[in-house]
Order: sequence, then C-alpha cells, then structure tokens
Amino acid sequence: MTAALSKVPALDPDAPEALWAVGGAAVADGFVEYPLSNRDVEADAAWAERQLAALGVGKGSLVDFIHNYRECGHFWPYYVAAYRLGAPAMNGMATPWDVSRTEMYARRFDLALVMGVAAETVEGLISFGHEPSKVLDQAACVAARGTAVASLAAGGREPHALTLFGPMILISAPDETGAAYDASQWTVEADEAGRLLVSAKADRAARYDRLDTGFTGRVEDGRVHLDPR
Amino acid sequence: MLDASRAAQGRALNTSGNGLDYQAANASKWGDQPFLDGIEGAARAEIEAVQEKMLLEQLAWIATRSDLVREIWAKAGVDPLSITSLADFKARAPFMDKDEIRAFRDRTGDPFGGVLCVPRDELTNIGSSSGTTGDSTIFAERWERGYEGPFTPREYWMLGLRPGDYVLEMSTVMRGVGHRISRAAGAIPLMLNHDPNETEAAVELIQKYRPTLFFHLSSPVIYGLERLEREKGVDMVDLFSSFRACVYGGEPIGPRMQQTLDRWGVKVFQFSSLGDSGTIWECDAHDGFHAWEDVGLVEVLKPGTDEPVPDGEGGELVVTALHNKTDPLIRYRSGDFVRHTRVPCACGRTHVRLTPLGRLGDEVVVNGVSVLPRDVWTAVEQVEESSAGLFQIIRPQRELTELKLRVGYEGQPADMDDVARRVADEVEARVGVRPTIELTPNSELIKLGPPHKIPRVSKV
Repeated sequence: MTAALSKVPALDPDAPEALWAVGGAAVADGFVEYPLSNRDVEADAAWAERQLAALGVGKGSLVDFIHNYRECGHFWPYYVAAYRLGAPAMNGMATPWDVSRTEMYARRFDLALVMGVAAETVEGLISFGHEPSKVLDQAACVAARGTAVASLAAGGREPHALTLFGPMILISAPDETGAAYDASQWTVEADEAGRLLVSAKADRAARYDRLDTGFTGRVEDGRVHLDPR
Repeated sequence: MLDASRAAQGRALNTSGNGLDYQAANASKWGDQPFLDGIEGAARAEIEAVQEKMLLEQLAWIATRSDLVREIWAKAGVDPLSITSLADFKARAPFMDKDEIRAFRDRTGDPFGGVLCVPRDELTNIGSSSGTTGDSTIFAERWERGYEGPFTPREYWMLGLRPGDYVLEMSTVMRGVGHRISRAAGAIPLMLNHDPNETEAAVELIQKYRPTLFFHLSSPVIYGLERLEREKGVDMVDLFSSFRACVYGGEPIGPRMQQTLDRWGVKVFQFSSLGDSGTIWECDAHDGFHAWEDVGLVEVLKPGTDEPVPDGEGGELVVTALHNKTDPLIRYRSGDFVRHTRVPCACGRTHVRLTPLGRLGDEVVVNGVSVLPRDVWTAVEQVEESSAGLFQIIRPQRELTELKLRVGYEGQPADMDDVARRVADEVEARVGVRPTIELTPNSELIKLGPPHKIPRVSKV
C-alpha cells in the first residue's frame, strides 16, 4: 500500500471533509489505500445516481450489488445513489462460496440490476450446478467484470462491462466503445507506453497523482478505452 | 433507548447511510460515561416495565401486518391484541421457528417468509444469512429509522470505541453493510475482506492507523495471522497493542487458539447472535454475553417445551424482537443452546447474560454417544499438522453408526496416514468414539464455508 491520505480532521463525523472510511484499490503495484471523505462519497453518489438511472434503475427497482468488503469505497456511493433513486439494494460477495445468495436473489426477486458479477461468481455458479447466464437472465440488466463478461456473453447473456479502474468504477454498454468517467473528480491520462494514470482532480481525501492503474489504453473524448487484458 | 418507531420523522440519510435524527441522537450521547444508554444498568423492574410497553406495542404492530404471525397465532387460537402483560405473553404466545418461515416462503413465494411488516417500497436494504443450512434467511432494513440491523453503537461503546477512532473491519457483505454501525458510532472504518489472504494488508493498516477496535477475528483470520508470524516474523504483540478490543465471532474459540491469542496479548471480546433479532456481546468482565433486553425479549426454555429453565442453567434461546418493526420475529425458537443469568454483571450492566453452548442441530449421536463440535475441537488442535482446528463433522443424519471427520492440515506431511491416525487417537481419547478421518488442506477447507467460519457440520 502507499500513503495517499490528505490531512483531514477526525471529528464531526458528518463534516464534508471528515474521513468517511478507507477502502482499497487494485493498481499496477498491487494495492493502494483508498480513503474517502464524506464530500468524496457525495460526489461519487451524484455520479453513481446518473449511472444507475442510465442502467434502468428507478423508484421501486431492486438492485443486487456484488462486491467484497474492501471494495466498499467503490460501491458504497452506488448504495447511496440507489437509495436516492428509491431502489432497495441487496448484496453479496464476489466469491465462489457466496453465489448461493446471488442465485437466491435472482430467483426470488425481480431484479432491475445485478452489478459486479465477477469471474468468481461465474465459477461458483457453475460449481454449484447452475448455468450462470440462465441464473442472471431474469435480471433486467447485468454489469459484469473481467472474464465474467465473455463467460456470460458466451451463454447468451450480454452484460455491461464493469471495471474497477483504480479508485473508479467504469461501466460500458455491450455496444459501447469506451466508458465515461467523472471528470470533475479525476484526471485520466495515458503515458507514452499507453499506461493509464489517474490523478485526483477535486479536493479528494485520496491525493493520487498519476497513479498507475495497471491498465493500458487511451483517453478520447472524455472516455476511457481499455486495451483487452 | 433503542426504539425504531421513535425515529420515524427523519426521512433523510447522512452520507454514511444513517438517519439524520438517529445520528444526531447518537452524537448527543457521546461523553465520558461508561454506558452509552442509561438503560444498560437499569433495575430489573425498570427493564421489565420497558419490555412490557414495547412488547404490547409490538404485538399491536404485528397483529395486522405479519402474515406468518397471524397464521401461527390464529392456529393457536390466540389474538395478539388479547395479550395483556409479559407474563400473559409467556403463558399463551405460540412459537415460531426457521422451518415455519421457510415453509411459508416456499408455499406462498413470499421471499420474506411472511414476517415483513412494511411495504416493500419502504425498504432500503435486503440482506441475508450465510445460508449454510439451506436457502438464506432474508433480513430487511429501513435505514431511515433508528438502527434495526443486528448491531448497535451501544456495544461498540461498551468495547471502548470512541468517536474519531479507527476500526479495522475485516468483514463480509452479508446482512447489510457493517460500516454503517462504525459510522453511527462516529468511528472511521478501515475496510478489508474477511479473508486470511488479506492479513498482510491488515498488518499495514494496523501499523499505520493504530485502530482501537478489530472487527472481526475468526479461526480463518487467525490462521492467516499465524502464517504471517511464522513466515514473515511479524511482531504480533506490538501489532495488537493499539486495540482496546478485538471482536471474535462466528464460532467458539478452541483452547489452542485461545493460547495463541493470549500469547499475542489480544483483548478478545466474543459476540454471537441473539436469535436473529440482534447480537450478544462480552464486556470487560468476560462472564457471559450481554443481550440488550430492550432489543429483544429473551426466554431460555427447556428444548421442545415452553418451560423456562432456572437462572444459571442452559436451554434453548427463544427471542421476541422488541425494537425491530420491519421484519420482527415473535417468540422465535433459535435452535441455539445457551446458559443464562439475570444476576447483574460485575461491569454494572443488568441485562441478561447468555453463554452460547452450541447449536441444537449440531449434535450427532454415534452408537448412543453424544458428540458436539466443541468436543472434537480440542482433540483436532492437539495434532501439530491440524492445530489450526479446522474440521467438519459429516452428519447425514443425527443418529450415526460411525463418526466421520473432515480435518484440515497445514504444510505437506510426509506420512498422511500417520497424521490421520494421531488425529483419530486424540478424538477417541477425548470423545470416546474412534472416528474415520478424511484429511484436506486447510486452504481447501476454508473455501467450503463463509469467510468467517467453517461449517462445523456438513451433510456430505
């Protein structure tokens, strides 16, 4: 991990500049701390609200977030956004073991969105005797990460592609090229080797400066285009 | 006092997902006092007066709202509105259990098993249990109200957490999201997966932030820390020195694990479930787990009967939710076997203390000999290769003619048959039954269950 924390006062937990929590982000060097202030969460929730709305989430929608605990920094703004849209959230972990809950939610509820399906989810569903694309077929929209995108597509369920990109979540539709990101909060640039670097633009608790995300690609028209891995 | 119905005015959440009124009420309590809420040390008569008032309100609430309760009570010929007192409730109220919730769910298609008492569009979060014994049990939450989840800021205060402190949360995403409660307590969560492979990252965070609360330790996490100590020489005594409390949960602590924790100087406080209506926690006195009696009405009954067992003795934990208005369980037979006492604790708190003794459903009877996981635990820990204490009893049914154990081992033993024989010897010496041993690497055994515990009993 690298130190990435700006100076923030500890008390008045609800003050905008107060630290909300410290999560973790996977990057080129392995793993960095990902601290967020309340102000950061609010900014990310505003962005997440627009993303969820674009994915069809609205009042009364049911959303299933699949993520592990250290990814709460990435996903929590989406919970806040879902609440603000009037959409109850449920959750599970991106582990083979926890797929029984993912399967159960998909079977028992009419889900508007399952967000965060991982390779481990697909692997787990198969090992428990389920056909992943069939399980998730009942959800109106699915956003999957990594190799889960191709696995689901091969089974006939074309998901949105979700990428944990350093401190950000990028989402692109099946027919979309590149993914939008919140340019009010972050700067994304490619260096001469095509490595994608992230810097904190706003007054965020995480003072990343040209953080190597571990991805290569390009940035065009405000969208991040990732090279295949 | 924790009463969800009184926090209904606040319709907006703060950034941490807590109602504004609720958060303000919490913050108003932060001071120098040892108890966060005065009722923690109230006289028995006062606690019971509060309980009776809350119980009668709860019965009026569920009478027209909980489909399952209505069905069970109608079948028993009892009207919830006819109950007049705590004593009347204990004399006449019918019981419910997990099987009835599942049966209602399967019969009607209602995923909430008939216990949801509010319109679905009022829900904020739908969480669920780990589902180790079937389809997960669903728990609904409304975050705009006072805390209806399994934890409260009260126990964190009891453990010494104070506003501005850091909490190391090696946690799961299961029943809601745990960081809300740390934030409600004014603390800052450091969030990692509950996974032995995350312990190296945990060490870095601990050394940097010096958190005061660790939520939570379990046998898999301790297994990961032992590996780090052995392979990287991490000074565990220094590592744990900043913590006022390290919470341990999921299952009991085995004797060898206790020795390890003692050697590291870990201030361990165990917690467990209050019959799916809350949680119970150890205090500094380590003499039983406090159950907040304004969260749940606690009864301890002779299994299969409605007879209360005397103070100090063990029986089945039966709980009625008093605080939760979203999906309350009423006279719920938990299947947990506990010892109990209402004698005031040395810490000054007066609420009932429970000591978990095991799950009623975990017992196997091998040729007439009763065997519980805790009986096997000590034996498995004695053998060096299986000293992490990771094992499962294979229990296709309760009555067996042969005891079969799946036991985890560390490293690459040269003679596996010898390891199996030594484990079998230890079990036979302590339990009185010679088992058949199936050896599995610890790393594989951990994958069979939720991250925080190994299912100690497996059908296959």
